[in-house]
Amino acid sequence: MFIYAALMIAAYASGGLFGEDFEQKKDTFVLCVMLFSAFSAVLEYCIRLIRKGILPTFLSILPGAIGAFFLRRQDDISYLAGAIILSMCIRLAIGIIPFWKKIVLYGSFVLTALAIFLNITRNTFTVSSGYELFMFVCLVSLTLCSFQQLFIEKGKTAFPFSYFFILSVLLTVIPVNDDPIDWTGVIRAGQKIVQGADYALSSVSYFFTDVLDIKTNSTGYSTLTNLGGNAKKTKTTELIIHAKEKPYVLFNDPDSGEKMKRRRGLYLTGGRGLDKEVIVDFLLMLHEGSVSRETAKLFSHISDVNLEYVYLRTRDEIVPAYSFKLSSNGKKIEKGQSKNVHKKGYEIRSRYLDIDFGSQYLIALLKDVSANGHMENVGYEELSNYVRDIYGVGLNDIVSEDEYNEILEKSARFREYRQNFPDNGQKAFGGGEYSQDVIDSLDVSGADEELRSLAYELTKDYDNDYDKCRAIEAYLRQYEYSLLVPEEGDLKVDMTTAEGMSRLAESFLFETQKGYCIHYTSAMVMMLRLSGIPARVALGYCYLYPFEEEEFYPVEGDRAHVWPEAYISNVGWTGFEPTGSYPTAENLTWNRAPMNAGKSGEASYYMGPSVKKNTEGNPDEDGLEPQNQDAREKASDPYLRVLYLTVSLMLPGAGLIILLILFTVVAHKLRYTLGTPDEKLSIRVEQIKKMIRKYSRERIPDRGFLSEYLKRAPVQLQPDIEKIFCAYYALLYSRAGKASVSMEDVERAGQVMQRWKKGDFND
Amino acid sequence: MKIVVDKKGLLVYLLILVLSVLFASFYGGPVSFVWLHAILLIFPISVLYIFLSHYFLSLYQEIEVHKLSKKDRHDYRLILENNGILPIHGMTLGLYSDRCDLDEIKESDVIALGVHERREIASSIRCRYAGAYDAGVRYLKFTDPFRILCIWFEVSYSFRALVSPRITDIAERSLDIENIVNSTGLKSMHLFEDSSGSDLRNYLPGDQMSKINWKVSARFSELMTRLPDRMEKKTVNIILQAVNVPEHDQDLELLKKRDYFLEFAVSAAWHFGEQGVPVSLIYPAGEIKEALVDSHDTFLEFFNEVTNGLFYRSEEEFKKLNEMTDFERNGRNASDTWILIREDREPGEGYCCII
Repeated sequence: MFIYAALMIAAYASGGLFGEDFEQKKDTFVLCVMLFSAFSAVLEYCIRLIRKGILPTFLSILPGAIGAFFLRRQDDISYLAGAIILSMCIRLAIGIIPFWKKIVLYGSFVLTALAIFLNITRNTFTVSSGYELFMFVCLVSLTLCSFQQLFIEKGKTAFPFSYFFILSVLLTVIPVNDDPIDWTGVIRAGQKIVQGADYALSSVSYFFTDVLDIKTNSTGYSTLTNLGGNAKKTKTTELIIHAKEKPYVLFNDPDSGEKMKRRRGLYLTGGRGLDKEVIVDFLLMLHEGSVSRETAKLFSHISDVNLEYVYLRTRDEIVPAYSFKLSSNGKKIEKGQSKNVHKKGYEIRSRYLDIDFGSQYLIALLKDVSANGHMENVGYEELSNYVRDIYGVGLNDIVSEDEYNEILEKSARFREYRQNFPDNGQKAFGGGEYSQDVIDSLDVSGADEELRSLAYELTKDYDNDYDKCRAIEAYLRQYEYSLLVPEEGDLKVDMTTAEGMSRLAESFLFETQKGYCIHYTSAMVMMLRLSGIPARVALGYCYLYPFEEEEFYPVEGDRAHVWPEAYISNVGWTGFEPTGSYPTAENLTWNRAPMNAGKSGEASYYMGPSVKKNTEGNPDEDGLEPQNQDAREKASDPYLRVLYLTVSLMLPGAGLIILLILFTVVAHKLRYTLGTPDEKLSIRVEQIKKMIRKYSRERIPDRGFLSEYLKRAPVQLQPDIEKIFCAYYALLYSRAGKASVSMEDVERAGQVMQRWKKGDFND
Repeated sequence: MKIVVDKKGLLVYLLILVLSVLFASFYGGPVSFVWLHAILLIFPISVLYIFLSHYFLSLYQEIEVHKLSKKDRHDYRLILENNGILPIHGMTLGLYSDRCDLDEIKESDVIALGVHERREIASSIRCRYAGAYDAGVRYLKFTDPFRILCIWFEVSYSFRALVSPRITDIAERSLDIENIVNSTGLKSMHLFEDSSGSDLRNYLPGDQMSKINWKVSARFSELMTRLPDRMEKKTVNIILQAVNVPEHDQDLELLKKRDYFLEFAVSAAWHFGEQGVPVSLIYPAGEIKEALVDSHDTFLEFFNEVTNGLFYRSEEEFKKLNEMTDFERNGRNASDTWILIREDREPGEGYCCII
């Protein structure tokens, strides 16, 4: 194991020093070294049964030397000769160096350190090769064994290697990864635990907030209109979104051409319910712009989503913007508020029109219709057919005819106002004969001259409402976003009133110059109104989906948001995002673009990844080009030759062993036959001692006392063995030339041996 | 089975494990993962190895004699045999060192056995207390290679020593009462005492002076001696009230009490025997038995019974002995002499009392 590990590390550490050929075949080279080394070891073991000393070591490398001689001229498998020579050197080293065990003991640590160093600096070792895995298994087992012997046993008898062998076997079968440990699962589990704890705490807080009617300055839907001063972020889950659509869109980056992923956003409005007016205005805008189905799909499609209230207590129905179908527990929802407060577990199903306001096609359409559209009343039937054509749903699924007519009237009021005040500019709105909703959306009470001037400065260069809105939006996004406002900004105002919004806007724009969504929205709404554009506040949530698809998407309290909506002539109510830390519509755009028509004749609206076709070369049937044919045929040659050579090496080795065995047996017989009776008796006594050791299965301490052996011999043979031993003692301790062994003793010894071999002593 | 964990070793192991996990968190591949897996597998493999070693280990204990004598040395042999394919390393023995001493075997001796190896360890054993109890090797302790874990296994079949009590003079001090012998005691069939009879004969040289009937001698003007009549000897009754504790619950304190109790009982029997007073002993040996000790043979019989162990076969036997004690204590049979020897005396009471 040590030699294998050392060779592998040396081979990998060489780093191309021995040529490209060696670099490719280093695993095979090491394997060959090990095989030949093992063969020599087995040979040496067999020879050592017959002969002791250093001779078996030298004899064991003899077949290797013959093999190396044959292989020296083979260029394509020259590494085999090198492998054999190296294995011979290793065998000699093990046989000659007396402190080989110490080398293994301390060398394991050195090799381990080297392997770690190579892996960190060069990332050398991978699991693609089983050799490397096996090398580390050997190394780790040896290191642990050496550690155990040096530091635990402190040089005494080591723990049996069978323990480390079992460890090695298990380590070999356990799969290993090339990548470091991925803690994502654990982190997710931890997050789930933390979330669970958070939910538990939130439940308690939710319960006590309801019971004790506690008001806080934490961010959340319920506190949106009460904030203005310093606010605290809260991570309490207020809503859960269940959506089947993917949370991201795929598109091709126009600059790099790479396939990119962008998270989808979702605006949820509270307190409006089915905002039919907004949807009808949008549909009318599309109709006005003669938008085809294909074009409409570039920036809109129908989506479904389920919302579940968690730690939220409100009467408001919180739904996606542009919802046209709402239900809860099978009952339809029309209004924005219910009679009862909704609590945890309340569910709403919504079908809505998902619109990409960042789409260049929609923006162009908005600008065009806003500037040039006439917005004549379109008949219900006509619009219904149009909507069915574009989205495949009937207009009656959205509005009834009566509702449609009401909406048309309302829109007409706004259009009338815009016609009368086409370039409102500095004109103040006087109210009067217009309806309350118009009046409310243009209320500028509390706004001072500074604010009015700023609004004028920002919008004076634009002639259409949409551009004016974008100009104000871009200006406000420069301001710093912060939940902590300075002392002068620590206001407690009611932003449902124009006075409140004015106060917030002025403090934000001219004093603190930092704030959060309430400040940005108040500023934009007031400036839009001061510019003559009807504006209102929308409140709810702005949720950004994650990149990974999940079972559900929790909406936390810090996602509660307010944003401004402006009434753009001929378009209708359109939302904007002036808050600096939130993404604009362009940041959330789907990047859809029309493509050439496919086989079916329909346009595809998603740019898939460009696929490079492999047009290089014409592979033949089996995938190999003709010039590889020779290489394939030649490849079989070395294997046959290796087999031939291996057999050639093993045969002389086996022959050598047989010869040695024969020689030893013959030598023994001759020695006995030609020996004197004394010598014969000595040989027999040694044989008897060997048989007793084997019989008793104990370690007999050989202190020179034959009585230790006698008492362990079979009882039936003990009398005879005792006589033989006595004769042997006499031989050993008698004076020279005096007592000599009789042939009778020798024959007795021979008979005992025969009886024992036959098992004659067993009853 | 008991598992003992070395805290220092465990801390070092945990530190190495944490470092391995950290290494594997930054670097993949066999370098880090093989090492991490090896560290994780150390404990399971160690436990498996230990259990296998214990499963395949056979242990035999032998003492040269069937019954031992208290505090005498006897030859003891311990045979360990490894029948498995895994060598056993670092095994130590846990001994019943509180009640016996083994001269050649120490708890600190580390034993290693190769595959299919058999080892015989000879020693001498000396039991400190009289009674019947387990002696010799109590536990086998195995450790893992890194000495973090040590698992103790109780020996399946312990060696049960029967240790004979010594006959000493501890009873004499307590039982030095002559007037416990009264005329209404039990009679022995074997021992007889001489009492002065009514028959007379002429004085012969050697007759005791106390046997001379002076009145009659004066009448006849020559010395006349009384001829003795054989009369059965009076006996003493002793109840040996042993505790009713199962053997497996008997701790060292109880062994010491039992030792003293047995020694007292046999010494008492011997004491009366030397005085020529027959003794009736009532003791629990499974059931409640009654033995009359009035000769050497009967004493030996009683001695052997006591050495085999005193125990109650059931709760009823214990109640029976207690009832007997109470009956005699209440003096129902006031003419007899009853001595109670308690194994578990009450505070303030002696080991024996006359009831």
